[in-house]
Amino acid sequence: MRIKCPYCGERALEEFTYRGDATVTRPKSLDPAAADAWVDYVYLRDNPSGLHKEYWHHSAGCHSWLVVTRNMSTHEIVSVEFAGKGDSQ
Amino acid sequence: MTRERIGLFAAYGLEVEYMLVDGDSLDVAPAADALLESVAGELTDEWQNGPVAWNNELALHVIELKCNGPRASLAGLRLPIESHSVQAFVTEGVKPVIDVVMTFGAGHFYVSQSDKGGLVFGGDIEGYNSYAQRGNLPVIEDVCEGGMALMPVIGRLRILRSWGGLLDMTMDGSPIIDLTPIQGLYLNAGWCYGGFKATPASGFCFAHLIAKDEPHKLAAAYRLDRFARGAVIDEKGMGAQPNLH
Repeated sequence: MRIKCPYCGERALEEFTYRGDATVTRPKSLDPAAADAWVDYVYLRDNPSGLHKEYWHHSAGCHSWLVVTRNMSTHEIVSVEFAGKGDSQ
Repeated sequence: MTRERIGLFAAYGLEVEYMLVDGDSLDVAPAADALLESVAGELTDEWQNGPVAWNNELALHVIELKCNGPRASLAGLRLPIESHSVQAFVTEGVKPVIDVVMTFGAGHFYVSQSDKGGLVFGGDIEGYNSYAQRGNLPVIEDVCEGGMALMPVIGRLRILRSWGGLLDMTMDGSPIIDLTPIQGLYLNAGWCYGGFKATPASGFCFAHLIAKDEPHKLAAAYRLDRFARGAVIDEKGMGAQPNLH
């Protein structure tokens, strides 16, 4: 598996660090009433077998945070984008 | 049509069915029929329990729990589980060199020797979600480095084959044996890369859970809600991510 970093180009897997599911949303509220939303964000996963979005860090490269869309059953990578809009310049 | 022999663990999705029989006479024991009759009030081969059916699929077989039709998810049930992959490796056969299962905790490598002489070994999981039943080269290198650190004597052995298996990784690295919010659906899952040796004990606790609708005291910590309660089973204090365990 090789990941095509939008900044550095295609690089080997060992340059990247996996963070995990990019489809969950960090709750904005720190209110105790938002506890369920935090459990959802930290622990609960859809765990699909087809296409999935996930965060990878190009830790041995340009240090960009990336959103990789990858097929969980074939490892085919469909797209790689910068996670933060400000990184794209 | 030609028949093909399939080795243990070589195929996924195959169901192995067996009947409960009397130990002496081998007569079929109607335990499943008796259970279904007790809940349904009459002799039947199936009982509807909400979205889950209890089914006596094969005559006098153990009870099978199944969904009534294909479902993308069970009533919105999401779990603190991700599917990951771990690789295993087999070398060419050599004379007896290891007579135990050896584990190298600090580097994460384990090895044993098969009856045919090949060394069977593995190490860390791949570390990213996967259903592909295979892995990638960086982990192969990492596992082999662990092997060389533990016992350099194996350095000149050639690897004959490797494969990847699916792991149901929980967010704290420990399994879940519990009721679910769906009535009639019980969960014994998330055994990560372990669990094989725990099968008799986990089966015992799981049977207790199904029979009494409350956890066995030995499995009392393995609750599904432990993540929400902040009572995760903190094996190493690594964090809420499968590839940290």
